[in-house]
Amino acid sequence: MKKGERRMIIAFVLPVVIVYLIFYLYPTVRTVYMSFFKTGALSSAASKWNFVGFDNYIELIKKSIYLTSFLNVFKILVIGGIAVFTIALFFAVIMQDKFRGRNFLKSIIYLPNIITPIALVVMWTQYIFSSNFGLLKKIFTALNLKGLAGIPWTNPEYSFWAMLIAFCFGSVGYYMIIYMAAMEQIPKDYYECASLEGANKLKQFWKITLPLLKETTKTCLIFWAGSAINFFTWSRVFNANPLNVGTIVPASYMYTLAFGSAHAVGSGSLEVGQATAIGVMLTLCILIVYAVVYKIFGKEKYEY
Amino acid sequence: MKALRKKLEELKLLHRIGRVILVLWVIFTVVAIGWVFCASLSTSKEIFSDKVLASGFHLDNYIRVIKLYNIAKYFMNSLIYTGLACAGVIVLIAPASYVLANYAFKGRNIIRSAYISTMGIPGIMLMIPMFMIISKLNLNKTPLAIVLIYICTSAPFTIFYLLGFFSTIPQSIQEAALIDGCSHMKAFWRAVFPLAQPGLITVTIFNFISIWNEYMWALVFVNTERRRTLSLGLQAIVDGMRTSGDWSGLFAAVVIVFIPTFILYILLSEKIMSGITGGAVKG
Repeated sequence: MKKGERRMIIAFVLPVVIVYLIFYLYPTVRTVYMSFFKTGALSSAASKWNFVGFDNYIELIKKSIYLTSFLNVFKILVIGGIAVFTIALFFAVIMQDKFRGRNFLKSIIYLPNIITPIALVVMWTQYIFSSNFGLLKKIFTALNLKGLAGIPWTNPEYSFWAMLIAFCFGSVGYYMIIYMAAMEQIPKDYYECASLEGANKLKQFWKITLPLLKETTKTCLIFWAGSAINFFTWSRVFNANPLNVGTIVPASYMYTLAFGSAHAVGSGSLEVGQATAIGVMLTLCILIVYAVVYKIFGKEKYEY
Repeated sequence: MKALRKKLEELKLLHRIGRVILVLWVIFTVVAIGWVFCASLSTSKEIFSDKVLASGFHLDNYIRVIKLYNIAKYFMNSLIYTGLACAGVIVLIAPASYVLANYAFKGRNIIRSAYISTMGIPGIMLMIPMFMIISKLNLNKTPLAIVLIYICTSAPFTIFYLLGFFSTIPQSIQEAALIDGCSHMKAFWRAVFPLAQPGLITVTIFNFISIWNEYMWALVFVNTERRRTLSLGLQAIVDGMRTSGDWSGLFAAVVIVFIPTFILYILLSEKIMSGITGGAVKG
């Protein structure tokens, strides 16, 4: 290796190594370390921390709001995941017909992905879910579904489902586009061959399309797990009270424990140590989900 | 044979129903976003009595929001943070990705897998130590802090995207520049970097949209009257809604937040669509 070449490699790569060490590695290690201490508020000096072992974790498990927050994320991950992937896959199949206006539909379905969650939350809570002039109420009234029209979506007992619907509605476009591109890559002669042998379209979908989408689905599931477990902004702003049991998620609860919240009722004193323990549990969750996804989908790939 | 034909017909029907659902889904989206546009041009009273646009266009909503809620200031803040972070992440990551993609050296795989592993770390996990570092450096509530944070949070995605991109640029370009007497680093900036524009632009569009819409980090580091981003400003208006009752102003603010990314999307939707699939399809 020439001298100039080595100098370039060092100069170009060193900054990203430093970013990784300072921004990713150090905070991760530090968070894990802090989760074993009783720390008090953020401003308290490290010398005043008390080592308490797993006390933070044990205390958290005793709090019902902590368990609720993890249950909510689990529901987002599983129920939301099933809904989003089913609809995205279905739309992608329909989009394989090259009908007119297809590109327009595609870009509108993706549109929510480029809008800030805050604006989407305003649109959903102040308009679509409104119990006075809401879009959903109008649709259900027009269809004469009085029971559905009367649902007070913005009330706390419905807020989880309202939030999940709004979030999933926006997510469909992203996965639809990925599936569309993946389906277009499957060679057409597979289907011709299957047709000649007498397999109908439905059978072709189950036996050819789905198995060949395995790799794509694995990638998408990893993305989905990431966005479900990192769930923060929607939970934070969907309800006026960030500690509302319907919309609370671990990341949001962790934030409240560390930084407090101007309008959270009963948030109690700041407990940074407990907050970091939540972060560690969240990271474990991501790793478990990744392990499960890799286990289910295996390592072997179909080459085509 | 007859049964088969019947099945095929059912399938055609299924496709037709599917297309109808698709169109309804799109109409729902268009109506919802369209209503927000209309509401931003109506009075609060009209919004409440469900008669948007009954008395024509009230552009003064926008003027009021800009004056009363400091939205213009927040818009500039967002633009500055996003612009600087987008430029910064390219200057930092483009050369690194080029080297990581094209040169074999010790530690290359470690760096790559280190960055892949960041996918398993929730952003909020990094927040408390980062807050302590930034506070210790006396950078809390400064634009510099948030720009640095955005550069770091955008780094992994940018690396993955550009690794794939730079591996398609032939090394002969760098070599040609070397023969012309450039040093290695100069050869990259003069010869390879300009040729990489298409990839750099696509990745910057994605970075722009995600940083422009970011909320969590901004909430921790710049949530003050002067330094707020648009998202934070919008949320502040929402929080103030219960006392001010200024609904039309709220929707006008929503439109102001939405417009920049929307224009970008209209102009570049083809590039965005093909960019989404760039990294994900075929793993």
